[in-house]
Amino acid sequence: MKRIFLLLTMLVLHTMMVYAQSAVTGRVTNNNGDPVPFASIKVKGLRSGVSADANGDFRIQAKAGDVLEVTGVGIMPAEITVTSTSTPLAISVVRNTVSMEGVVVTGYSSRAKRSSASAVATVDVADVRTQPIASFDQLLQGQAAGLNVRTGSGQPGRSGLVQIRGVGTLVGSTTPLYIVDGIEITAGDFTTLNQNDFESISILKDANAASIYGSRGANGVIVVTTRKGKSGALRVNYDAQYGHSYFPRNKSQLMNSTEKLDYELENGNPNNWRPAEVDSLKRINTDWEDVFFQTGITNSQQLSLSGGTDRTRFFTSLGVFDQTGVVKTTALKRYTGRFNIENSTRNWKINWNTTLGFSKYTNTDENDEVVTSPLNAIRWTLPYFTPYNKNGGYLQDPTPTSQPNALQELLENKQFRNQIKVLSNVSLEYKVPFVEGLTARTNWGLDYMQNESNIFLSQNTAKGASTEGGKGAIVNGFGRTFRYMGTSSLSYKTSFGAAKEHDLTVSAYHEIIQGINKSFSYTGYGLLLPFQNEAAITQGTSTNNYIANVTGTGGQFQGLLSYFADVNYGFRNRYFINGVVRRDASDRFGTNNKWATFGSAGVSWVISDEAFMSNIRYLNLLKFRASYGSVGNQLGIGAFASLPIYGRSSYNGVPGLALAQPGNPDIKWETKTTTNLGVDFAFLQNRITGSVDLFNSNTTDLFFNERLPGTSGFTLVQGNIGKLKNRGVEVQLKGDVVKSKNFTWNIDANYTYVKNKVLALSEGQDETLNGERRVFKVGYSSSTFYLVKYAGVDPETGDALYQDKTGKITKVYNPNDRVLLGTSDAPNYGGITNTVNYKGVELSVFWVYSWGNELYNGDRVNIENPSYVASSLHVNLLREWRNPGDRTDIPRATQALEQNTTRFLENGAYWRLRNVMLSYNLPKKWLDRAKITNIRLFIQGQNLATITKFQGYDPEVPASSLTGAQYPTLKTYTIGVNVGF
Amino acid sequence: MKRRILYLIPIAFVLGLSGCKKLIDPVPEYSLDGSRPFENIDQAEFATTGMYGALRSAQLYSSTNEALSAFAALPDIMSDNLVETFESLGNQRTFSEWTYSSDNSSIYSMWVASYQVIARANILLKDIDKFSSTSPLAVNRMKGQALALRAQMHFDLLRYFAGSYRRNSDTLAVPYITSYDVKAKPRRNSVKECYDLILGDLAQAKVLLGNIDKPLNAGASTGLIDRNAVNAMLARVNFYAGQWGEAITVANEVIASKPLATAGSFAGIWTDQSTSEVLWSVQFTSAAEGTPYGGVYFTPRRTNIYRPAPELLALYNTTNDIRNATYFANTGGRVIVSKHNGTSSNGVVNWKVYRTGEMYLIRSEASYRLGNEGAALADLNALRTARITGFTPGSEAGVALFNAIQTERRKELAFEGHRFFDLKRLGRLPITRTACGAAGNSPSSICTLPSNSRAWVFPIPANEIIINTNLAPNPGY
Repeated sequence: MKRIFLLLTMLVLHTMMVYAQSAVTGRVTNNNGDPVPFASIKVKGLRSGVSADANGDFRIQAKAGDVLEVTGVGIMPAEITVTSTSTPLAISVVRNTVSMEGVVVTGYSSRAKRSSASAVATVDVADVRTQPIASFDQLLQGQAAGLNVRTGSGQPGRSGLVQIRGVGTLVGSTTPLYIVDGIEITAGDFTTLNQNDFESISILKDANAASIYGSRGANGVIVVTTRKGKSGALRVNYDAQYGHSYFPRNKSQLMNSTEKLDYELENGNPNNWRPAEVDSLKRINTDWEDVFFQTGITNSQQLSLSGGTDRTRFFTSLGVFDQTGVVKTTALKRYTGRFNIENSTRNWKINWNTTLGFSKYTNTDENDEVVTSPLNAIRWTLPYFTPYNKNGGYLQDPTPTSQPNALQELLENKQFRNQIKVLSNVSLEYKVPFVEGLTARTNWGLDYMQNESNIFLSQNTAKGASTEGGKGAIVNGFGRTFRYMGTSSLSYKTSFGAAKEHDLTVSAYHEIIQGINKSFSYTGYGLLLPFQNEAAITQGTSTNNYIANVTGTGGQFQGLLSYFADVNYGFRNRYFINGVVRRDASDRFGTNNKWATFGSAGVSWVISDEAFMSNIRYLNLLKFRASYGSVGNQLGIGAFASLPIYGRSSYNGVPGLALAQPGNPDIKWETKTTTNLGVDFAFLQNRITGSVDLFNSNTTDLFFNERLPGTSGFTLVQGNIGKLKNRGVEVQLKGDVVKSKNFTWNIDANYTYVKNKVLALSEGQDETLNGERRVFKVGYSSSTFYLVKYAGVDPETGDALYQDKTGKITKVYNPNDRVLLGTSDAPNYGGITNTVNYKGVELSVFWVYSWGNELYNGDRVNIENPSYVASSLHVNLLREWRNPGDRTDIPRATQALEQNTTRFLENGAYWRLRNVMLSYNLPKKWLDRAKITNIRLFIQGQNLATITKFQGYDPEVPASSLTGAQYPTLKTYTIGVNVGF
Repeated sequence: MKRRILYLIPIAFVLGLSGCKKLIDPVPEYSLDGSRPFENIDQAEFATTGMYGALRSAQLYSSTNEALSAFAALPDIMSDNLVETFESLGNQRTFSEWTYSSDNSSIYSMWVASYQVIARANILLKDIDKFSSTSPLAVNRMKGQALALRAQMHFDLLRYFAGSYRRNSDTLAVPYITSYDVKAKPRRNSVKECYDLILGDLAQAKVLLGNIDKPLNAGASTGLIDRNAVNAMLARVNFYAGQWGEAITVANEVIASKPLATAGSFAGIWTDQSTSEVLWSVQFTSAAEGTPYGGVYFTPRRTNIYRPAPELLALYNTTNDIRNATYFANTGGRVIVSKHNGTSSNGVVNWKVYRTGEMYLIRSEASYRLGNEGAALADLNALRTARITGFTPGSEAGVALFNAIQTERRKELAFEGHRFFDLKRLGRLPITRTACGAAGNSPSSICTLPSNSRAWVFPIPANEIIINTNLAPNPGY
């Protein structure tokens, strides 16, 4: 124990000591003779090894007769026997583009991809980490088949919407499980994590891959491994990036001042403008986007150091990410630090990872219909107003509706959030020496997040005036979330048979996870003193209405106890079988359903290694996979959902208790059963590689807020009902179109088709509304829109027309005439990357695409509603019906707008140029003199173009409808440099 | 050394196993497990308070932007007392123009919110009797309030959802719920059945609240339903049901115990400085709890969403009628309803559900209906004298007297949630707003509601009918 401690603390010293010894040296090169950097070299039979440097040079302790094993990313493994310790070894390796020799990382173990029957996609973080985005989940967009990422928002630090293989639930969560170095982390809040510290991201898609996560695996699992040190001399890397971001254009155009004022005059002049006022107002044309927007600036820098000996390796980094948003005042500042150390001896391996992060996040409200949200103000504020009046004060709306001045709300009120995040884990592995192949392992870790939020509402603003006492408020909130987990396992690995043709690995695990949170907030009122902090609060009395409000909540939010095991068997390294079984007990499950069991089995066959295939020369690899298994979802059950719960209430200053939920003791997990068939292939000397997967999932016991008769006093109770099916195809293809010494062009593309279908709801139930505008109906997708068909305008009366159930045109809007329409989830999506390299200059062009869905445009509902004449309106209303005989699609202004019609349903398909990057690696011969390993310069553009029919800023809305206050993904241009010493 | 580390692995297993019960079956710390009956009478007291808390729902007596405020502002918004202004964002236009259909989400919310109060009453009633041997008078106190509140909510629902107010009408009203059962799918009770149950609950409440351990309302407070409030409920219900004699009897009791406010204290009622003649009011103590009349005049931002109708304003004597200055104000160049602006003009004010003024009007009309014009005129004059400085007692008779009673009712109870129901009660008198459309300085262009419109009766929510097929829809929806 002591010795390990010593190793940890005296790392640097050790590094020096090891280097003082004599050793075998060598260089790893490819068949062209160019050095292959950073390959791993170890003496066969020993646990630890060294790593080659950027020039392919290495130095290892070995004696003559030892066999050295050389492995690395992108090369075929090689072995070479040391003949002499005095002459440098020249090891030539073959480039390997077939990922089949890689490993599948499940978070609990890793196994050779060759033997895996699972559907697992791997994203090479190096390809995406330079994108100027602060939430790493957004980087995954378009990177892997089966993975659908909707960015949802371009706000700095906002996470996207991630779905793996479609929607397998009605109302439960579709968020995948996120695992970093074996530890579950809070999903959807990645603001304070630095993607530059990540090494690989694996996406576990089918039941065979995810069932080891049991009741948490149904939405798929995203497994992240972080960067580790490599042995060798100290390596220093510096990355920097700087850029500008801009708001895109909106396709829905608003009326200008003249158009708007003329429109008002045509419609009764509700604002009572006098002719002279109209004339002067027509001369004003304020561009509200100019008023609220600024150029967003991204500035990111990272310094990392790594190195070590053959026994001890470390990696450490410091990063700063500073991004200002396009809406004034918004920004994200993030500081991250990371430390990783690994030590291995003959039988022991210890690994410690710690990530620390701090971020300050000032955001703006989005996806709401609040008039003071700046992103609504740019749409709704009248073009003939100015932000300031003649005296330099904020202009107060003189019209009867008197909307607040949104710029004043933005600049005088303040809000921000400080977040501290800590991820840490320690793992210990022991090779039991007296039983060959037996390993014991334990991994304990924590995920800690602390949020401090601060809102200051000035008494001069509309928000401040509508607080208690009407003189502003300060809301200060503090919350912390702490999760720890521990996994302990025993694993036995053996080979047997005459030629050791049988391989068997058996593992048994125990796991415990607990998550506890705690939060409180207070609100102080009466900000009369000239401070923007707590000092301004007036002491509350029974008469001044400034009594501060304090609330808090907390408790356990996650409790899981599990036992599980897996078995992997291989025969002749060609035929493979595996199986997993997991039993989970969760605090979410009802008292009547405490333990859940999940499992899977898979087989795979590398048919291209069979003798009868050996004469098909163009075929390099052909492998078939098949698996079947079950996983669960427990995200969707609230804490204590199984119990009737009395919550806090009060009346007339007296505390009370009131039943807040009816409770359902039978509540349980959703079970998703998936069949997966896959094929992996490589042709023409591996110039074309790829895989195709077919899957069919059935989810049963769907979470459902079963509607209760309102006469019970409740509308919903959480329960499990029905059945849902997801079917899909995934294709992943890579091809080297041109492959020559100086010029290469390759294409990496993926495509996914997935669509779900409701197979059953509650007994005797055929359909039920899904929110306001969609329906769950047996036989249809769970995201099917359900609206009345809009049929234009009656030319005689100007009344809106609708189509009734029988197809007849009617003037009467009747919700019973709703019809089944398209889906809000896109069934087709994917990404394509073209990379061209000429003598070190590389251009990579990355498109993402999505089609087949519809979107409800709520922004248009607000700006095409003639009763909102007090705010800006869409130019479409200029062609509204005015006189008998007018043929138009916009009804008369005097008729109330019916919102739930197809008039506002739009095509949601898009092609987006997600990233274009031009980079240049400076030639080695220039750098060698300066003792620099590499310098890479790049310039990139993010979201440069979007092809879509959607009438808004961005078709990637975070829900089925665009509500309002949309923060689209931004156009960003950055330049950057990576330097390695 | 190495052996010692090896032991850590089994220890880790053991650590993982201990405390598992707590891990997978945690006890709520911030709420109370409701799967067991009340453990002590304190919990029942808390549940009694919790029952009242639900009245502040934005669907019932409170108001937020989009919510209905069904029993406070809505009956006047739907009547000829209020006119929508251009300051409105149109959130309540569906109601002021009577264009709601069965998928209206506000009606559904209001339906559920009412039954939520009823459910809380029924949960209390289910368990309360276990304490009747130890604390019988405290049980009477809690039980009486629960029964009265249950009756009150059902009656309020009946006023919206029933097509008739006649005592023995077979017309369908609403399900009368007397036990807490989340799975029950009740049918609609007839108006007659509802009246039977409402009057039964109120009669029982009246007896129970006559024999309690301590006064319900300390000092001048009127936040809890006491025996007086139950009498007021009985008066109103009997009055709607046309049981004139019964209405007079209970109104007599109320008036005897709580006379009309003096001219000097009348204004104070509306700023909660005085509780004279208030029989029961729903308490609002901070902006966080809501504002009852924010949907009509939103005080924090001084938005006049609905303004008083010119015909209504014309009914008041602007100099002598003390109600004129109390109910209305002229601010920012327009007339607003200032009645419920509260003490600090932030809209936080108790909602007066019952007060003695209404009792006079009930007794007056009931006497008239029974042919006792003398008593009817006496009550009418008493009220007018109290409200109008230097009032010369009137001497109306016959139809003129009846009309005078209705006019006074409109003037006295304006903006207290009566007008729409009164018009419906009097035979669906057609509603006409003269201030209409752009010419009338209003964004609203639907300004009349004829007697034969379906809108006099709220639709049974479509959501509710889908789940509970025992519920018949209302005619025309």
